[in-house]
This record gives sequence, structure tokens and C-alpha cells, in this order.
Amino acid sequence: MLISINFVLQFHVKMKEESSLRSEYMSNKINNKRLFFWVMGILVITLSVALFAGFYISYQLTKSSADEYFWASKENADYHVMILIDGSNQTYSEEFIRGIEEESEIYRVATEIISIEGANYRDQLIENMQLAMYNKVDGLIIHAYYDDEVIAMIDKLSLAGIPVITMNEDLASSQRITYVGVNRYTIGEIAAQEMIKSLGTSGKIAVIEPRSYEEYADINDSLLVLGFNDILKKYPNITLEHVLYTEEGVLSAEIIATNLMKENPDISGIFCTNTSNTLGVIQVLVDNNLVSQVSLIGYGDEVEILDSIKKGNIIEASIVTDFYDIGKKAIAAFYEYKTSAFVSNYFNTSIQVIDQSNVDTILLEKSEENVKTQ
Amino acid sequence: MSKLNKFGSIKNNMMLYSLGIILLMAILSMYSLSIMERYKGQIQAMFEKHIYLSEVESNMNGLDADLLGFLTSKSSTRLNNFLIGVEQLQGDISQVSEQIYNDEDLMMKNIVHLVEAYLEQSNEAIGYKRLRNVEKYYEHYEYSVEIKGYIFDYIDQLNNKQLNRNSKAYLDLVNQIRLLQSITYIIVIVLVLIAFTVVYYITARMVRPITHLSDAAEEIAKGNFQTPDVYVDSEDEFLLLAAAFNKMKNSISEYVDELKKQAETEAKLKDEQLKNVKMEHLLDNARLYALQSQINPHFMFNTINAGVQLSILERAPKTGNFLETMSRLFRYNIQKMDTHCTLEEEINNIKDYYELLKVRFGQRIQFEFHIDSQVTNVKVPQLILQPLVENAYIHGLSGLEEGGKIFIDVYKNASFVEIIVQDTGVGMTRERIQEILSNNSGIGIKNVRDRLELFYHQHNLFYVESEVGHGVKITIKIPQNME
Repeated sequence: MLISINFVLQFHVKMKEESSLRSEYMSNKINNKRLFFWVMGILVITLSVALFAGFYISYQLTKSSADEYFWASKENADYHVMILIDGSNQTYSEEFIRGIEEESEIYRVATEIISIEGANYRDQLIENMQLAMYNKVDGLIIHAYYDDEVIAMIDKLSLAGIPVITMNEDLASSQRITYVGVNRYTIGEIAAQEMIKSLGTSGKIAVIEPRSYEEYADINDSLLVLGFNDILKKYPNITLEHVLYTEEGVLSAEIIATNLMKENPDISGIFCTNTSNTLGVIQVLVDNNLVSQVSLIGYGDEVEILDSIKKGNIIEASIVTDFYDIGKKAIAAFYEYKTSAFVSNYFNTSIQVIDQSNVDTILLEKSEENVKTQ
Repeated sequence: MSKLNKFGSIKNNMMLYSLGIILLMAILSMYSLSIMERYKGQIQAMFEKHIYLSEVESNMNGLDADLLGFLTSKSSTRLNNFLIGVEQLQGDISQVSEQIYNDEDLMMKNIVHLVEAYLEQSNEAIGYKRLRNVEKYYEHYEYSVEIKGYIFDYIDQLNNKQLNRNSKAYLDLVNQIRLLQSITYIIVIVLVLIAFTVVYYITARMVRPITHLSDAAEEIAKGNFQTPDVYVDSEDEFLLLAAAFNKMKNSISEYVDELKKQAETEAKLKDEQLKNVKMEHLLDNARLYALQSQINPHFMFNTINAGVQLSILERAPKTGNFLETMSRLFRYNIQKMDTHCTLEEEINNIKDYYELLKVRFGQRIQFEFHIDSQVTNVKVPQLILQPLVENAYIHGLSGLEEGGKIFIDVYKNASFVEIIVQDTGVGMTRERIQEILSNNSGIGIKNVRDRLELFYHQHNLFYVESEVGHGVKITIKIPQNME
């Protein structure tokens, strides 16, 4: 009996020992397994992330260097328009380009803007018009001025089926489809009115124009002078004495203005038809202490000009062309012609006069724009 | 084997893991290849147009040279070359898409139209040359040269534009390649770690049962069969191996236990035998001692018997008694050497011995017996008293002039029958007692003690007490249950 109990007890102890060993083994094994799966999990996640990152980066690379597009819509262009502008003319500013770009996106027009630099604008203009013909463009927009060869070239292009739109000067005698820009007659009128406001009932006036227009334009044909004179007709004591032409750059205007004042000390009003001339004449008036003696009507909305208006006395008013409007209207006119085969003979763009009454507002707008572009 | 088929075998597992690792490496290779492919495409796109433009340019130059050659020399070879060049150029420009998406497309379109215009003008020039209209062909040639100039201008512009764009793209590319390189390093490291972890896990999984088995085997090698069974939970060959091992271990353990039991029994048996042999050996010694102390007992016995008869014939009863006593003593010694006897027989033997001594020494040596008559039938080994008495007489009393006494007391106490042999002789030192008890040379004493212990299977039955000058007292304790 005792022996059998002892045996059972021993057996029990042995079983217990074995089961505890077994459970220790199992718990070790489970711990190892858990650790293994943790480590594997972390590694696999790292691997997946790295693989994904690798593919993503290489995908980004191909995407970033993918073809560029004209517009966000990624559409192809329906038309190709070449635009030839005068690089020396500061008025073809970012505003003009912005107008062109905004409108061309709407009508899906690819634009090729060639800014012609250097003194020999005419020859290069004609050359590039020829290039446009070779290129078989769908349309041509040019900064034009009166010249027989330019007109002949316009006619040639029209014959080849390429519509030409003129800016700056109308060239109504040519086969151009339309003219987009300010009405120079109106500019003349406005300038004359501003001059009268400043001079009163009597005075002698000089107009300073850039050289390029003198060579090819008959002064009597100049709409600007025509408009100017039409207003002066009512004021017999106010006369337009001189129309002077400057070479390129600010210095040329300074020399001409200085000579003008030396030779004609009785001049009481000067009208400049572009920005650089205006800036040059301002220098001469300030340097020779002629600010109070001479009334100046300028052109353009450069900050220096606006500052001079704000100071008072130096410059009475400045006439500004809306080049953004010109850009937009030029493209719109082309599209209208292409789609309806009919377009009005000219598109007049707005003209603004800046004087002491509104100079602050304009300056504020300008500084806001600067902040935006920055 | 049928059992094994149920489990995933080690071979299958190993193959599975190896395939996994190979798959991972394949992923890495595929990844690297696809990235490389992308870059290849990228670089091709960067330079494709440039190469195309260079080709157009060189074709144009060749065409112009051939045209000029024909116009100046009217060489038909030149014309032929020119026509081949035209075909080539037309092939080139026919690839250009008409769709315009950006400035570059626009320029490409211009180049196509300019090439067409150039071919037109050059054909005009060739036509007028054939008509020998010098002025006209020169004019058209001039136009063609002009157009060529435009084409080259556009190509230059395009190249410039692309160079600008490509140099920007190149910088991006370099940066991104650097980033990708880092990522690839990370991927390689992670893959190596994964491979390492998997290999480690598999190896650990495979080695663990082996370690358990080897540990258990080592324990068994040390002789410890009580180690718990090896436990393996993987369902492969190791499970079978562990089961077989456990079975083997348990079988060996059982076998060893059996062997142990057998050995124990044998050892007991041997012990018993050894004891018997020793007993016999001691008896032999005693017998030898007896024989040595009496020269030729049979001869002596016969001689003494002859003496007894002679004394009867001569009517000398004292001599007859003497010789009879002597004869009894010899008979006792000879006849009952290897058996046990009663205490009474032993005491009678001593009394005979005393009779003989009385004849020799008269009253000089006296024996005194105090015997408890109730215990005289106690069984004792033979010849245990005579050596003691002899010893008392030879070593204790024989040297004394005045003689002495030997007391033999037998009485019963609680669990023993005590036999005391005491003399009034010279006594012994403690060292002498030790010498006698440990050494066989002392003849009788030690032999008596050993035989007592063997006979009763007990120790502490034999005591010797003595002091120099005060005799020796030897006490024998006979266990009572031996009755």
C-alpha cells in the first residue's frame, strides 16, 4: 500500500517537472516567435516604405521633366501668331505681354514674340515679316509705322493668306486687317487740352517725338499733331512752334531740350510723346531751373514720372496708354478675324491722364502690384 | 515514414525559406532595373531632340554644299547627292508632330516650314540653273541661304532652351538620384536584415531541438537517466528524433535499474559467501592452533588410553582418573572442532583442564567456578573458553612463585549470558591488550573474539580489562535469543 502511494507520488512529481519544463520551453518559444514577427514586421514595413518612396521619387522625376505646356489646360494650340515689337520701346512692358498671354490662353493661340533690338528697326521688321511668311504663321501682329516697304510687306503677307494686325500706327492704306491701339489723334487732342489747362490763353509749344517716326511720316499726316492743332485752333495765342525728333535714349532728349531752350527761351510748353523723352526733358527743366517757366506734358507711367507729378510744378500731366488692353485686343481681333472672317477696322484702347488729382491712387496701385509680383 | 509525410519536413521548410530569400533579392533587382529604366528614358528624352537637331543641321549643311556644288559646276553627282539629302531631310521633318503644346513645338513647327521653304527655294534655283537664268537662280539660292540662316537660328534657340531646361533637369536628376541611392542603400540593408533574421530564426528553430537532445545526451552520458523527456513541438523530423531519443533513454534507464538490482543481490550473496569462508578460515586457524599445541593428538590420545588401561591393571585409580581426564580433553578438542556446543560442555572441558593442572601444580593454581545452572545449555562456538584459560594460566599465573586463582563466572543478566574469565596474575598494559586483539600472533584471544562475532553476527561481545599487577578480566556476552 505504502509503496504504491510512494510510486504514485513519484510519478506525479516527475510529470509535474516535465510539464513545467515544457511550459518554460513553450513560453521561450512564444517569446522568440513574437520577437521574430515584430522584427520582421518592422523590417517589412521599412522595406515597403522605402520601395514606395523610391518609386514615388522616380515617378516625380519623370513627371517634373515631362513636356512643358503653354497653358494649365495642357491643350494644344490651334493657331500660331507671331508678334513683332520694338525692343527699344519701353512701353511694351510686362503689361502688354500679360494681356497677350491671358487672351491667347482663352483662344488657344500660340504666340511667338520677337522683340527687335538695335537701331535698324525697319530692316529687321521686314526681315522678320519675311520669316513669318516662311514659317507659315496663322497671324502677325506688328509694331508698325509708316513705311512703304513695311506696307508692301503687309500686302505680300496678306496675299499669302497671313492676316496682319498693326499696333502703334494704323497704316490704313495697307492690307492690314485691323489696327489695335490708341488713337494718336485723340492723344494729340488730350495733350493739347492738358497744355491749355496749364498755359491759359497764350504760349509757344514744342512737341518732342522719337526719331523713328520722323523719317517715314509726313508731319502733316501725323494724327497726333493734327489732333493737337485742332484743339489749338480755338486759342489763337497758343501756337505749336516746333516738332523735334530724338534719337534713342534719354540723353538725346536732354540734348535736344537743352538746345531748344537755348534757342527759344520763349517756349512755355513742351509735350513729349514717349517715356524716355519725358524723363530727359524733366532733367533739363530741373537742371536749368526752368520748372516754373515751362509746362510739361509727359507720356508714360514710370515711377519717376509719377513722382515728378506728385511733387508738383515739374510736370503737369502724363498720358498713359493701356498696353495690357492692347495686348488683349490684338489677340481677340486675330481670333475674331480667323473665326468670322470679318473684323472691325480698328480697336481703340483706353487712354488715361495722370495729374495731381489722381497720382496718389495710381502710385498706390503700382506699389500694390509690385508687392504682388514680388 | 507515413508519420513523416504528415509533417512539413525540414527539406520543405528549407526550400520555402530559400525561395523567400531569393524572391526578396529578385524584388530588389527588379526595383533597381525599373529605376534604371526610368532614368534611361529620362536621359534619352533629354538628348533625343538635341541629337535630332544636330542631324538636321548637318544634313542642311551637306545639302547646301551639294546645292552650291551643283550650281557652280552643274555636276550631276552633286545633284544626286543633293536629292538624296533632300529625301533624308524630308524623312527627318516628317517625324515632327503638327501639334503645338509649347514653345519648343512651335519652333519645331517653324523649322519644318522653313525646311520646306528652303527646299522650295533650292528647287527653284536648280530649275533656273537648268534654264541658265543666272540672275534668277542666284536670287533663289540667296533666299535658300537666308532660310538656312533662319533654320540654324531656330536650332540654336532650341538647343539653348533645351540646354537650359536640361541643366535644370540635370540638377534635379542628380539630387533625386542621390536620394534614390540612399533609399536603395536602405532597401539593401533592410533586405540583408530580413534575410539575416529569417536565417537566424530558421537556424534557431532547427538547432533548438538538437541542443535539447545534446544536453539530454550529455546528462545521460554522465549517468543521469532521470532527466525529463526532451520536448519538441515542431512537426518535422526532429519530433520523430526526439520521440526515438526519449524512448531509448527510458529503455536504457529501465535496463540499468534492473542491472543494479541484480548486482545488489549478487553482492549480498557474495558477502554471505565471504563470511562463510572467513568463518571456516578462522576455524581452521583454531584447529591448527589446537593441533600445534598438542603434538599428534591421535597418537597422544591412543597413548593416553593405553596409560588408562595400564593404571587399571596396576590398580592405580588416581593415575587412571588423570589419564581419563586427559583423554576426555583431547577427545573434546579433536571431535567437536567445527560445530557448536553447549556452554555446559565448554565448562566441563575447562574442569577437565583444571584437573590436569591440579595434578601438575597442586594447590598453586586454583580455579573457582560460579555457574548459573539455568544457562548451561546456551549454545556457544566450540573451544572459546580453553584459549582464555590457557592464556590466563600461561601469561598471568605461570610466572608467579606463589601461584594464583582463575575465576570462571557464568550468570544471566537482562539480555545476555555473561561469561567472565578472571585471573589474579601479572596483568597487562593497555598497549599489550591492543596488541593481542589486533594481532594474530596472540593466537587464541583474537581468534575467540572473531569467532564469537561471526557466530552471533554481532560486535561488542568480547571485553578485555586489565591492570599491571591486578590480573586480567575477560568478559564474553552471549546473546540470549541464540538459545
